[in-house]
Parts: sequence; structure tokens; C-alpha cells
Amino acid sequence: MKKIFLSIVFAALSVSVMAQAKKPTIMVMPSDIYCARNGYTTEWVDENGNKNTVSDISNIFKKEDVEDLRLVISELSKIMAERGFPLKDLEQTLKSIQQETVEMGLLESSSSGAYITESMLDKVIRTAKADIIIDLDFSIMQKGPQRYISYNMRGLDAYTNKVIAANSGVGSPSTSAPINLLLEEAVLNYMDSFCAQLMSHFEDMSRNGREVVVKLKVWDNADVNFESEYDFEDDYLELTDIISYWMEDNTVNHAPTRTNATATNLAFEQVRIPLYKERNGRMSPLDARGFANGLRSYLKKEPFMIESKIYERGLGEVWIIIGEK
Amino acid sequence: MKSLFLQMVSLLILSFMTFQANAQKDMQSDYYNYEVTSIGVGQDGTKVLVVTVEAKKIEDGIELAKRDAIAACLFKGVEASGRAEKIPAIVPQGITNENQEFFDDFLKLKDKKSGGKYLRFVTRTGNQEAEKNNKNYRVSLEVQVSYNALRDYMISEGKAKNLNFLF
Repeated sequence: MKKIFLSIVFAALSVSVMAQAKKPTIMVMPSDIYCARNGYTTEWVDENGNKNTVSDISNIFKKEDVEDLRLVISELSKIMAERGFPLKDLEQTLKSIQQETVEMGLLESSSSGAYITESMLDKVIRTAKADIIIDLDFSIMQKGPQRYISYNMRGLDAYTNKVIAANSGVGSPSTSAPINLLLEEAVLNYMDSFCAQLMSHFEDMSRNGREVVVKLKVWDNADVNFESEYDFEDDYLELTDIISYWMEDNTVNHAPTRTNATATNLAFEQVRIPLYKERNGRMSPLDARGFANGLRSYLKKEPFMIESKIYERGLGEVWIIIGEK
Repeated sequence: MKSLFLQMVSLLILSFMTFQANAQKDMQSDYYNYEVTSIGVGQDGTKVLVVTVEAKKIEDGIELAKRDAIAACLFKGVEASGRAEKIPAIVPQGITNENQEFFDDFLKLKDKKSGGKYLRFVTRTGNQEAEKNNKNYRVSLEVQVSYNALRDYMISEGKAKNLNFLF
């Protein structure tokens, strides 16, 4: 009787564990137009003498006049936390990265005095990033004695670049309400609709799988490319076609879109991967890297015998570079 | 003659009772027959709505408007107006065989004895406006709905999903 009870408890726990997909991180980022309008930009001149202006996100929270932005981000964070989705905080992430850089430079091994190895790529990817970006723009408008808020917020999938939720509009004009109250009202006004769109996105994900991007590239010293031919299913097919068949067979919708196919480059978008895979008798969450590992393993076997490297850009994008590790 | 008269009176009373019962049932179970406008949001997760309903008495109309404000937030959502943004439905799938009993109980109109639990989430904030429309009154009422609390209650009862349901 006790064994039966324990089995039931174990089964219930397994189901609850199985039901957890990998949770995307969400971060609010001020939009480029917001940064430009408020002067939060930095300029640099490239080797051709062209002047470029980019948003100076890394220093934005050190400016004195940034209270409005902090207020809006705080309101958004509060609402999202109440909905069970705490946001990754941009300001704290930037501080954490700066602190990590300092510590990385100072940390040394106690036995030999060795420093931590960090490639240029490691340095480049150590930036503030998230799986879903809330691209935020707002401005305080004036019409006669009345002030009102113009507000624009978009939820972007960082990998597919698709807009998964969007809200925009203008708030009610007021002659007496302080700016922070108008901003607060704007956030409250738009958030329910925004969250409903996010919910639709997650419901679509639960029905049709997570949408990811898979890109395949070739090392410049490789002796294969995507036009190399193989004896496959009683035919001679190019590697491009063989990989396309594998993608069709292993995706939820069986119809990923091949957006680029050259001898050295292959890209698939709208790749719907399952949220879970079975491993050691239980379901474990699957992300783009886990999915691409299947393809890497497939290419390593007969008749292809191709070694390849996986480069993970995040939860929803992965590169496979064929030829070697 | 006397027994024929009694039979006719009995029949009339029975028909009247059946009509009344059906009218009550229609009023109770129709969760979509009203007009609703959003006019503002509150800091504490509340929404201010104006609901317009039709009822035989003004008092019935007031209770119906409060109940229908909750029904709108649950099933229909409220479209954006010049003063406030769209309010999404908390239970967008609406009434189904699985949840009918729960919602009939939750949205049970207040009578002299008691009412459904919807009463916890709605407060009347203004005077009603009523105008006679044939045999009915067209009643408009401003109410405040504790939208976030209502959503959290529906999530806790398993009638709505939380945003992180998948993760």
C-alpha cells in the first residue's frame, strides 16, 4: 500500500517536473529613438571617416535626468512580478557586468598566479541580453496648459526578431496631474493588454512548440560544404537537402522555412521545436542548443562523418559550424 | 361553473409563475447582454467601468449592472475608449460545460438572501442613471472592479491561466 502511495506521489512529481519548459528572460530596454531624443547616445567615427551614433545604454542610468525611465521600468517590473514573470533588470545587469569585468581582471590562481582565460568572443557576448526584449519609448507631450504621455511598448523575440506583443497610444491630457502620475497611469493602462498578448504567444508556444532560429556555417579550412553530395535514401543528395529533411522530420510543424542556402551558409527560421525531450526516462526541457545537438550528432554518423561545433546565441538561436570543433 | 373558473385561475397562476421563472433564468444566465465602457484605471489594479443594462425595476438593474461588469471582465473584455485602453477577458474561452456550474454559482445575482462571490470584486462608485424604455428601465451605473484581484481569484480557482503557466 505504501509502495503504491509512493508511486503515485513520484508520478505526480514527475508530471509537475515535466510540465516546466525553459523560461525566457524578459528585459525592458529603452528604444533607440528614446535614447536619441533624450541625448543618451554616443558618437564614434569608423575607419572610413563616417560618423556613427549609437544608443549609450551602458551609461544611461548614470545620467541625472533619468528618473522618468526608472519609474516606468519599476512599474513594469512590479506588474510583471505580480504576474509570475519577474523582469531581468537592465540597470542591475549593467552593474553586474561591470563588476564581473573588474573581478575577472583581478582573480588569479592561488597556486600558479594564472589568470582566467577570456576570448574576444567571450568579451563581446558578455552584454546585457534577454530572450524577450520590451522595447520602450515614451515622451511627455504638451498641448497648451495640458500635458499628456505618448507611449509605445513592443515585446520582441530576441532571436526571431518578431514582435510578440505591442501597445501604443496617448494618455488622457491633464493640467494638474504630476508627470510621474501620468506615467504610472500610462503603464497601468497598457499592461493588461500587453500581458494578454504575451499570454497568446506562450499559448501558441505550448501548442506548436518554441520558435527558434538555426544557422549552419562552414569553417574556412573544412573539406566539406553544403553542396557536398552523399548517397542518401537511394539517391545522391547535397548536404543542404539532407539537412533540410532532418529539420522537417524533427520539428513540430514539419515545415521550417529555409531562408538562406549557399555552399557555405544555411539558415532556417520558423523552426518549431518541441518544448521537452525524453532523457533517462523523464521529460526534460529542450532549447535551441538541445535541438541542434541532435543534428550535430546525426552529421557525425555514417555516411557523413562530419565534425561540427555548436555555438549557442541564447534560448532561441543556435549556430552549427561544420568542419571541425 | 365554479370548478371551471378555479381551473382557469390555476392555469393563469401557473403560466405567470413559469414566465417569471424563465425571465429570472434568462437574466441570471445571460452574461453577454449589456453595454460596457471603460473610463479609467486605478493604481491598485482596479478598473472603472460604466455598464448599461435593461431591467424591469431600477433596483434589479443596479444589481445586474454590477454583476455584468464582472461578467464583462471575465468573458468579453472591454474595448478601448477615448479614456482607457482595452481590458482583456480573464477567461477568454467563456462559459463551457466544465465551468458553467462554477460561474452560475459565482455570478448568482444578489437577492434578499445572498448573492454570488462576484460581489467581493465590484463596488458601485456613482449614482445610477435610469430611463424608461417601453416596459423596462435602461439603467447605467459606474462601478469599480477589482480586476487584478478577480484575475488572481480565477487563477487560484483554476479557471484562468497565469502568465507563467508554461514555465
